Amino acid sequence: MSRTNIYGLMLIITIAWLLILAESYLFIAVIRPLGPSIHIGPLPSSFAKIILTAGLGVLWVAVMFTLDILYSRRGRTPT
Amino acid sequence: MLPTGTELLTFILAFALPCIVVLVFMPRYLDLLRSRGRLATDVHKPQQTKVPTPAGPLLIAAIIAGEVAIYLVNPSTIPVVAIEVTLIAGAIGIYDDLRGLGGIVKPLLLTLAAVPLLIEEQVHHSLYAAVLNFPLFGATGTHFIIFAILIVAAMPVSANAFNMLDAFNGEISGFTVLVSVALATGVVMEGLATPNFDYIRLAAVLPLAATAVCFYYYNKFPAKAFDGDSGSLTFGALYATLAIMGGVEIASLVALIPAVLNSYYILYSMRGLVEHKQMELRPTYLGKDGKLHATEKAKAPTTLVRMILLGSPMGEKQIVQSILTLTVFACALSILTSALTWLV
Repeated sequence: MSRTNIYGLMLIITIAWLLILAESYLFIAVIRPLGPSIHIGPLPSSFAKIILTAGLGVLWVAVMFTLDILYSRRGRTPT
Repeated sequence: MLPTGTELLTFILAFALPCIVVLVFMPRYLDLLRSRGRLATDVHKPQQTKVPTPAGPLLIAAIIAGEVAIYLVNPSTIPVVAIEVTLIAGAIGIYDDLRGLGGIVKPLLLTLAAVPLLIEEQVHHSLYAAVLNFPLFGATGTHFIIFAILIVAAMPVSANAFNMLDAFNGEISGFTVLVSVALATGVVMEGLATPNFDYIRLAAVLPLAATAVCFYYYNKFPAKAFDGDSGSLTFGALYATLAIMGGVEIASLVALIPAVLNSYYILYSMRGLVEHKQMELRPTYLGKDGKLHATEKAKAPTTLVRMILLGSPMGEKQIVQSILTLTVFACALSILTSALTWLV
């Protein structure tokens, strides 16, 4: 078993987990209490909440794919 | 806090009955599959090896036996919903094993597995709380519609994540054992932190763990049985259901990270939902040395196994050990997440 490969993948899993924790903080502390109330202000808060929550999902996916590219580039044998 | 006699009886029956069903009936069931010619080639072996498949229907029967035992000792809607989800996901899996389903039709059909949860909650109002409990930062407000949408999405995501990880001897059975232990640990922690916690939420997890533990004996390298899509889809849909009913959705998602990453990488590299049979290039190939190698072509699908194999070919047994090592690591993070959610 290649330990380096396993450690690399463990690092990816840890980053995925830390992102879940950090993004849940952003979701609970920043996005959830977002104002102003619906019908007040130029942009309904519910709309902003949906967009920002989707943004958190996109960020998670983007980081995972970046890590995949970095991991694959390091692991591939140069030809 | 020690369990009462009834609770102890429920736990014992919920674990023992699925074990008995799998260990007693599996040899005869595999003979039946052999006699009917239901054999699949084990493609990762140097010699052509045929293995009976699908063992899924017997695994479904084992899970149902455990859930029925829970219901008989303590009538509750929780095991009933677990049985309903098992039957729906199992039926979709059996159809997929016999006739084959497309890469898009299968996840769409799997959303039906959410129906028992949604209907029973409307009737009884005690199946789940429509909130997500986040570690350290607490729970969200109650949102019935958003939570219902998440439940419908969770079924195909979880079932397909299990299904996509079902490629090597002992991989899916070992994975299911580990994640169900992490799930049960999370539910125990929630029980410790919640007054009047319904112990059936914990008992309902045991048939899944027991079935996977006993099936591992037949599925481990060199495999004597393959579960088929009927097994893996049932395991995945039931896992999601038990996580929702147990109130440990976030921690359960953390345990699934290896499977979720595997699915995301396949979806991204294949640009959509594609069945194994439709892949033009395989992610790995069997070398003349009898070991599996990562396909070097850039267009080959990216899978967790291909990532493990980059630069270092391995035997099948070693690959499964690597995946299970990663799963143990993710399960440790899941248990830590549960502790941060319920005990801190």
